[in-house]
Formats: sequence, C-alpha cells, structure tokens
Amino acid sequence: MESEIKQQKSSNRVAIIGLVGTILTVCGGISGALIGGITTIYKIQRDAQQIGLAAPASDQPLTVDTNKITITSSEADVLDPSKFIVLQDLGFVMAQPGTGWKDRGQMKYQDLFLEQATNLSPLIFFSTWVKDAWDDQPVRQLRYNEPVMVEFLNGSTENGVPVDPTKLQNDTIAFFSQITTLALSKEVAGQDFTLYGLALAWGNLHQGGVNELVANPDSQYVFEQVSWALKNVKVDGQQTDMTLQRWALFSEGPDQFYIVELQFVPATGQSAQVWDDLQAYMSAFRVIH
Amino acid sequence: MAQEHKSSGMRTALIGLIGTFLTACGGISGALLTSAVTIYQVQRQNQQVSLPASTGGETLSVDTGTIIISRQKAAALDPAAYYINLEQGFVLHRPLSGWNEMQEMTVQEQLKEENVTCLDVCDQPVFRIRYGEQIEIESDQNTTINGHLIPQDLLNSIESLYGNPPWKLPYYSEMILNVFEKSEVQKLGIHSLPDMILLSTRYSAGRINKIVAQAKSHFAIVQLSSEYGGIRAGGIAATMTIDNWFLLAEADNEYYVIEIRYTPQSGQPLQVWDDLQQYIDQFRVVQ
Repeated sequence: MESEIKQQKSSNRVAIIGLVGTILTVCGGISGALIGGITTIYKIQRDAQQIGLAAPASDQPLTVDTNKITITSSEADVLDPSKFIVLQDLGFVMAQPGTGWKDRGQMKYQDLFLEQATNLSPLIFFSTWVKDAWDDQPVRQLRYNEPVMVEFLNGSTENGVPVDPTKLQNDTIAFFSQITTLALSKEVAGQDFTLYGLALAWGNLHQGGVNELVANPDSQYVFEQVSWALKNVKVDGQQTDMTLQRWALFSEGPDQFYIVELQFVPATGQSAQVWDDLQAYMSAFRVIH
Repeated sequence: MAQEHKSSGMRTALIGLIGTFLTACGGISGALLTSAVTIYQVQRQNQQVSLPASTGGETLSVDTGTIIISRQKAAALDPAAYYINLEQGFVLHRPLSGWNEMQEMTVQEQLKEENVTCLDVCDQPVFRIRYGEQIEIESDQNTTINGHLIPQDLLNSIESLYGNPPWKLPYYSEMILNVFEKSEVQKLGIHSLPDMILLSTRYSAGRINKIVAQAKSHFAIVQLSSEYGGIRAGGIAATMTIDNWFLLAEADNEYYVIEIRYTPQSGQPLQVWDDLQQYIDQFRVVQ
C-alpha cells in the first residue's frame, strides 16, 4: 500500500513536470511566433518608409529613409558639425561636402541663372512660370569639382528634343554631379504651387523622362527619379550618348517647401565615391520641425 | 507490482509528453495564424487608400488590391450591372438610378464639346457617366479660384472660347474614364505611369492636395480641389468647391485615367456621392 502511494506520488510529480513543460513550451512558442509576427510587421512598415529608386538599367538605387527626414530643432543642434551643416534659419540640415566637392555657400535662386556654359538644372526652369518671384529664395549646393564637358552638335537631342547648337551661348557645356536644395517660402510659392504641384511641375520639365514617382499615403513628401538623355553629343572628343540621372525629394517644413535636386553625371573612369557621396548627401538631408 | 506502477508512470509521462507536443503545436499554429492574419491586414491596409477633399468634404477610398481581375472573372460578371469591355481591358459599373446613359466618345469629340481643337491622341476612347441635368455656373473676370483671381492668360483663353463675360459654364457630377493605348501616348513622350500622372495634372499645380503613388505600384491616386468665388450657380451668388479625384492604372498595353468630379454645393442628393464611390469601387482592369 505504502509502495502504491509512493508510485502515485511519483506519477503525479511526472505529470506536474509535464504540465510545467507544456506551459513553458506553449509560452515559448507563442512568444516566438508573436515576436516573429511583430518583427515582420515592423519590417513591412519600415520597408514602406525606405524608398530606393534606381535609374533605368541600373541596379544602384538612391535611397531615402522617409522616417528620418524630420528632426526637432534641439536634435539638429546636437548633430556632429564635422558631418552636418545645420541651417536653423532655413529649417533644414545638409551634409558637409566630402573630398573633391565644394560647398558653394549661401546662394539665391537667381544665382543659378548666372552661371555661363553650365548645365542649368530643371529646378531653375520654374522661372518660366514664376518669373522673378523666387529670385531671393535661398539655395545651397554641393558640387563635384570635376565636370563632364559635353559638346552639342548638329543632330544632338535632349530627351528626344532636337538641340540647335547655334542657339546656345556656348556649344560646350559643363555638367556637374551636384545636390541643390531650394528652401522655398510657402508664402512665395503662394497660389502657384502646392507641395505636389512643385513635384509634378519639376517632373514635367523632363519631357517624358520621369521613371518613378513615389508619394506614400500619410507622408508629406514626394520622391522622383528622372532621366535626361543626351544623344549624339561629343564627350572627350568622342561622339557618344550620355544619360544624366536625376532624383528629387520634395518635402515641407512649417514655413518652407524644400526641393532637393540631385544630379549624377556618369563619366568614364570616375570614382565610385562620387555616387557614394551623393547617396550620403541625400541621406543627411533633414527638415527641422 | 513495482513494475506495474513503473509502467503506469511511464504511460502518464508519455501522455503528458504527447499533450505537451499537441498543445505546443496548437499554440504555435495559433500564434502563427494570428501573425499571418495581422501581416495580411497590414498589407491590405497599404492597398486601401482614402483621400479626403481638402475642404473637409467627402473622402474617396480606393482598394488597389482588388482592381485587377482575370478575363474569366470579368466574362462571368453580370452584363446587366457591368459594362465589360474585354477589348480595351476594363469593367465599369453601369449607370445607377438617376444617372444618364453611359456616353462613349473619342477625345476629339469630348474636346469639341468645349470648342477645343484636338491636337493629340484624338481617337482615344472616353467613357462618361453624368448625373442628372447640368448646373449652370456663371463666372466673369472677378471670379476667384482658391482665393486668387484667374490669371490673365487663362482669362484670354476663356474669352476666346466663350466670348465676352459673363461666361455660362456647365457643371456635372460625373465619372469620366479615358483609355490610352501605350503605343499612342508614347508618341507624346509618355513612357511610364508617372509621365501619365504629369500629363493628367499638368494645369493643376496650384490645386493638388494629395498624390498617392506607392513604389513599384501600377496605380496612383490624385486629389485636387478648386474653390470658385464670386460666381452664380443656378442664378444665385455663391462660392462653390469642385473636388476632383483621379485614379490612374496601368495594364500591359493601356493606361486608364478615371476622373471623379463632385461638389457638395450642387444641391443634388447625397446619394450622388455614394454612387461615384461605387463607380470607383467597381472599376476593374482586366488582365
């Protein structure tokens, strides 16, 4: 009888251990699965915030993490000044230039027109609509020091549109890899443009060269990728075709719209660092709220 | 005797082990199922877009996850309720109660109604469903759009089309579908859905409130609003907001642009809005 009770106690112990094991296993399993699920959901949401737009026929996307575009004024103040230029008065943060790049300092929109024989980026063609209304709007630009010199010939085209070299002030034009940021006062943009209107107008200047346009729900930004195809031009004495790739990020702060226009000019023998620098500049851009 | 008890203990332990195993499997499966359902819900939510009018008016919702259907499914739809156009690859809901017959025309015919000469893609098809009678809007050079006077170049264009002010312009609550063959619009330099967005909104830079165009998506939705001040609607001095939504979709050979036009100040029943939402809900691209 005593031995029977002992055996029963032993069986109960085994059953309790089994029960504890069951509970632990179930809890572990459920926790694991839940963590897995939450991680996947987080990843889906983060993926939606990270936009990579590659130029056609390229596997190298330029990425923007839209979750990181906005920072507070106090966060901006503690950024490392050796890496970032914090422009509190203009409401944005940009990167310090890397080796081989030049910060062209505080400029105005009208300064973009004053360059001779240099590719005028589409940003400035807004003047077709706004005339001189934007002339005093602040601009910052980082430019790669080595341009690609392009000579236009009879029969040259830009995005399929013929170029008449006789109408150019110079038939040889310098194209720079560069990033240009326009801080456009909302008051000045006034009736002509909303944030989306700016993005669409900029895209329209590319004459059918818009490859991607991303504007996610509940996000105040637009990201575009466009191509600017130069055909039948002369580079380094060789007749050739060349495609400039451009990206633009349109975002807004309390008082300004920001157009960040990035231009990459491919060149034979050019260091891959140029591309990496452009990506770093785009990643460094912040709007201060 | 001891042997018997040992066997009984082993049995209990074995049953406990199987119980453990089954419970664990059940728990994990349940949790996985919940996670999978949640992930599905997150992905579906990403496909469902709601765009309100800027003035706090109606909100149009679009479920981009259901727009594309197969030819078989399209062919099986009820032709009494749906206009099924397999050749041009789309399905529209037929006009609901109170709406006029669907009008089929070309871009050229559509522009001719407004005395505009068609220059490009003139033979591309247009499908239009309008509600009831037109509302006449009377405007002149003092009319404002979103608080600003009409620019002089636009005034000149209106004057050349409609003569001296005041101008009597018709307004309809309506849904318009444009179908563009890719091979045709390529001649205009349209090579992508973003290019198509730009074409559809090229005169609207100051009125666009929101664009939704997700990466690698075959859809885009645009909302814009125009508040007309200093007009007369139905003979009464008024301010009127006209809200437009564009749904753009891309198939293998075509682009589709659906425009919804609505004003809360039309005096028309609220059902008109619900009907417009239903036209969008039932629009399908056949692939």
